[in-house]
Amino acid sequence: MVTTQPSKWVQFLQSKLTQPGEWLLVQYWKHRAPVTTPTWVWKTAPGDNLQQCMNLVMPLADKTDVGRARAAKAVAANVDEIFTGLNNVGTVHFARFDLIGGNLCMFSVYDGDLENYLRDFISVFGSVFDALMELVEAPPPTPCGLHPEAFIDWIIAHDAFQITGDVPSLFPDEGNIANLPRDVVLLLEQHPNVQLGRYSGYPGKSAAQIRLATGIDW
Amino acid sequence: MVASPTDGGLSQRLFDALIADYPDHRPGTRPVHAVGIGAVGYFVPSDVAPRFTVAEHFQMERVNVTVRFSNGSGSPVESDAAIDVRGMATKFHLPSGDSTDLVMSSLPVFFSRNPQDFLDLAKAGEPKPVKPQPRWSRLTDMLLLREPRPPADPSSPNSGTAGVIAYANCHPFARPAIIAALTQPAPTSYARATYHAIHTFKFTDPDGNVRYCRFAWEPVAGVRPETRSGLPKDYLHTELRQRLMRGPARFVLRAVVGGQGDALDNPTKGWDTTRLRVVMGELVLTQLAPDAGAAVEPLSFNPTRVVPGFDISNDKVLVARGAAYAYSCRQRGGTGC
Repeated sequence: MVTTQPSKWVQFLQSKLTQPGEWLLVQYWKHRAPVTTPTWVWKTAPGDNLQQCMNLVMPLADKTDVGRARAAKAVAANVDEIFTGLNNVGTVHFARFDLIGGNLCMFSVYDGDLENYLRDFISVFGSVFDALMELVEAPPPTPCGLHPEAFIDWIIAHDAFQITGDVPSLFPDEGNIANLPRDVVLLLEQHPNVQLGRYSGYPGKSAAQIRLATGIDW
Repeated sequence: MVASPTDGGLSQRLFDALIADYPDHRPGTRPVHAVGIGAVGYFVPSDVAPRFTVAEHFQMERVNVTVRFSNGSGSPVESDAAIDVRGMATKFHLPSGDSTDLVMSSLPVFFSRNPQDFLDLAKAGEPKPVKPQPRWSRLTDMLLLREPRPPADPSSPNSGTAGVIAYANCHPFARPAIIAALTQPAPTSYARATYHAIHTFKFTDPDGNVRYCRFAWEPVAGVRPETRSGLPKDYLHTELRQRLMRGPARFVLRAVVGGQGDALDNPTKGWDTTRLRVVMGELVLTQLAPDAGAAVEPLSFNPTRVVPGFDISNDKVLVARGAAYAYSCRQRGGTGC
């Protein structure tokens, strides 16, 4: 079979026009047919209380290497407090801080409810987050121990949106499945940070059960 | 033991509805999954399996099995490369002479909540003449930020796809399965796809505790969709024959245990990936069925053919399938109906 390649001029024009054209289409459709972000109710059954993901993406106020180094230093200076705090929370499978571009990120997998997890945070290492909040864009009021609701709202707003189920179920009100690709585009336009799926090597088990089964807990 | 066939003519209506979707259906063949290939081997239950169920085939050292792989279409014309659902039906031969079956497909969820949904979908999917998509329509799709539609198959002037999509537009519960069925690429091998039992079943453990479970065969060789074009229309059969001449094909049987809030009787809804997952055993396929599968093609596989310790749930589609499969088996002169 002979395939016809577009000429170099056509390829050049495509490369220059495609992205701006798509950007314009996205701006048009987000006003013409906006999508509604599904609520947490969409993704959770009552049994969905184990090994939940938190993907906290915190934009740094200073995104230069100097600012990033300041963030790395703030985390490193509090390692003992973070580790002891996470041990005391007791429901955490794993947690880690990453610097990704101009963002300080905390990724963790925990058991139970997000709000309760965050209240435990505030209780056991709130002072670490007070230090980190000094480095991020548009921080919530500190200390977080005195403003827990504002802190929790801020964290939830910076937690990546999670697509863990099938895509059609995200848009139950969509009347035409041919529009689902556009709905996804508009959802991503609303949420620059998104978790796509998840896998667990030992699903259905809490952190406490794992520790008990492996003999490293009381 | 299979579900009661006394269903007020429902089985016949389901059978007729499927036949209507495939005008070239050949009497004496299955109404769907018409093209298949048989293989034989054995199943070895895992060490943990007897903790979850007292079902006989999970207590033994090994159980002989017969497997039939298939393409989902009811057309007798083989087209292994087509976008289609693949099937894997397994019969466990028990020492008593009885058998129990696991009937699975590559769809992770099903189209219908109940038999009436299924009849409606089958009606919507009756083939109608297809017109090629005009150029202006492609441009419109691009401006609407829609995916380009696949080109029409020139060898098939009629298609039920448009009707099925229209059905999905009005029935959100059916969308995950319909989108999967319309987009699922062919695998490189029948032994390189995951197959799901779709419905919920009940495990009873030695203490009498009942757990609601779903099942999947996962290929040890890994899942791999086919990306090459121009393959022979029977490449999956040829590949399986060659693969089994080189050595066995293996699958792991995984059970997923339902949690609070999971849909136990609705096969259109998936379960979260955080559910407890248990390895129930390994299937080892050693060779193609003897006599070119002469004994496998007429053989009845029925998702409701279960044994104590492994029971069907109240899923209405599952119950209806039990009776419809038995009816279909009798209609085509099958064996073991």
